[in-house]
Amino acid sequence: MQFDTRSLWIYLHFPQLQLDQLNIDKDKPLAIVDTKNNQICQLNAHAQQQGIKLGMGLASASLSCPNLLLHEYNYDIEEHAITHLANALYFVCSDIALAPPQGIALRAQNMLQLYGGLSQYWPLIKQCLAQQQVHYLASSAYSIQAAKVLALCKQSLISEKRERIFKALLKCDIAASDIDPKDKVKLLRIGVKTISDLHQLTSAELANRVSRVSMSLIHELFGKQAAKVKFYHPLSTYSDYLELLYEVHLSARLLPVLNKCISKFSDFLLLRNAHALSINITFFQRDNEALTHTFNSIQGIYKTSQWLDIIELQLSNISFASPVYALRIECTHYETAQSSNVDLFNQKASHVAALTLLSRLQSKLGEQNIHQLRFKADFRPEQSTHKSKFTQGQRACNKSTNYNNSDGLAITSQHQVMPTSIFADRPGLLLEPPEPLTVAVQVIKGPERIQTGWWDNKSVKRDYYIGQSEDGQQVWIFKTPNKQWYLHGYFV
Amino acid sequence: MNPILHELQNKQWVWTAAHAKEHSPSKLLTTGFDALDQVLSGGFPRAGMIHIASYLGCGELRLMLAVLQQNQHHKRTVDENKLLIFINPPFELNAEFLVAHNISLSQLVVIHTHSDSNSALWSAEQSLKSGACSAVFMWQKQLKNTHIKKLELAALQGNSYCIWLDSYLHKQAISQHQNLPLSLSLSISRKNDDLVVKVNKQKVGWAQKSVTIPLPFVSQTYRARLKNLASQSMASNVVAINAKPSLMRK
Repeated sequence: MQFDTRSLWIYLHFPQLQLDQLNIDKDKPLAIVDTKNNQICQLNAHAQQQGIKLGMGLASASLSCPNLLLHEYNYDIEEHAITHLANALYFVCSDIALAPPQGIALRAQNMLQLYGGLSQYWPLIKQCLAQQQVHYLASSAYSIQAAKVLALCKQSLISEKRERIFKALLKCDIAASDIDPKDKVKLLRIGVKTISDLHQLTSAELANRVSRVSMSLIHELFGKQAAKVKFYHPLSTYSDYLELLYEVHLSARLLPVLNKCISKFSDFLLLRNAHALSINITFFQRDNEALTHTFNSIQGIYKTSQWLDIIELQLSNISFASPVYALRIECTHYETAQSSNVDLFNQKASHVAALTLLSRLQSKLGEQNIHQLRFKADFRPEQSTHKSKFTQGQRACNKSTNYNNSDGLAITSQHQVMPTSIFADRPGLLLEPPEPLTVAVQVIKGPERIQTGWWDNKSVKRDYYIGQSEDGQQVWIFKTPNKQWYLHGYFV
Repeated sequence: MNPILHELQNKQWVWTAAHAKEHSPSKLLTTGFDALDQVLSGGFPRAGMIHIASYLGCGELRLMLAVLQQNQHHKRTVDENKLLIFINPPFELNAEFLVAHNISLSQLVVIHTHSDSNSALWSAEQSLKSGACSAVFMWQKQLKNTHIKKLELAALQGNSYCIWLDSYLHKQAISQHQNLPLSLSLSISRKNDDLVVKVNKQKVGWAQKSVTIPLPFVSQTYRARLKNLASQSMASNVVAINAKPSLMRK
């Protein structure tokens, strides 16, 4: 989506995102090592005190600090963390563009009116980020690219004033921008190191030297062109992956970790006014295959404590063959919590709306096992009953047309019972398809000829009789023109 | 109090006259058949579990039409949209039959659990408890005592019926369901043209002899129809076609 160049953007850069995800143990020196070039790419304050620096080789780092805890850099963890942050920020900002693995751009312009200015809005974002316990660099500007350059150059300028932003931007290094590295080298050769150098060149001069992509980036940087971005939308299903700091063998030890995961999940449900009936937890084991367990609840619940009760009970029966190193919590189905509108004087206070019941049955047994029937005016017994799945909203519209079940035939609601007034007697249960008749029956009524359906290739030519067996079972049988007898239904 | 009596009361095995209020005829649901109403001292209970043992196709569902139609012509509840739930019917339900008997299809839910009896029991219990349905019809081969107790309590809690249709296709030893915590247990068989209903157990009331009730005309046998026809033709001057020629000559 393309946006005008007058929108204010806030760019958030998270320099040590993976490290922040491992925030269980903060008192020891921790570092993340990039295995591609064997260099330290993220480290905490303790590690810094021990003399470790960014870009240091793995060997020299472990020499200078023997008790350094090392983790391997993983792009997926950061990407996942960015999505998680975007989820959290979604409550204070409607337009979010992701720049994985370490950046998020927020379009602040339309939120400023809501919150009454940047001075009120920025503390909200800060508060939101503080809850997530992540380190970040932030800056605002009138294009994503400019805000990104400012943030990466640690300018940390949160302002609406164009002049201040522009002044700060001019001081920045072009290395922080997204310009193609090849073009950056070309620009360096002609002595362009900072944005201000870049600004002094005319666009004609630039266009001779750099590619078209870089050119549009430079235009974007100075607010002459708008960037194309795709905004983030939160997923409708829940999935969370957590890597444990230590491998855990005892299931009881997992509970505190699960508590943390479930409370995140509970927040997710609370915000959507939803209840969940089941969640899947996958335990990734070191030497064995991952175990997936489904935890079911009969009643839709969202509270952490209720879920933990269920999980604790079931977890006591689970033993792990080898230590668990990671967890994944997934929930694909959840239902909207229904407020029950039962009057105060009704004794049966436990009334749950029919819809809630249906969704509960569906989520447990699967949608394909719950059906509703519809009647179609057709003489062929196979064609008159239509089975269909329940879909949302369908029942609501059925309410008004209670007796208009058929396509053409409207049956008026009459309070006096009028059985078989317009219909011939029909059995309650039908065999699908009809089976050859094997038991001896005595014909007690018939025949009733049904010969129809020549127009849609399902033509039927049968003589129907009602029969009764020795045991008193009344059955619906028919005879085909070749004198074969079939059993088609039971008069239950 | 006598400790044995106390224990029995705790288990709800003793019925006291104080409970009679709940069983006053005004609170019962009439079955639609006078003879059966008499035996059941007024009709089906207000809620609870009803067990029906019969061969498949003896008119067991037709006997329960009162339960099926209660939303239509009994202003029992304000909420007319209560569900009717069918769990594991042995064959496909016929919509034409239901529509013919004024049963609104929008209330109907059919559940198949594919011979997974645990899921069937779970769904029955959930539906009964929810109070969102007026009756649950379940076809189930065998139920344990504890299951029945659970369903009975769920039905009472949700103010609904749980109709357990114990239908068998062919001849088999009819198991005796005695001392089951049911509200009502009926056995149905067909004798000549009528339906013989035997009350195996009812919560309030004495043991009764089996009663015969006529079912709607359509499920009567040919002979009974002839009899009806004959009695009608006596009144009018219409003569049955296969009447004896000797009669005509006179």
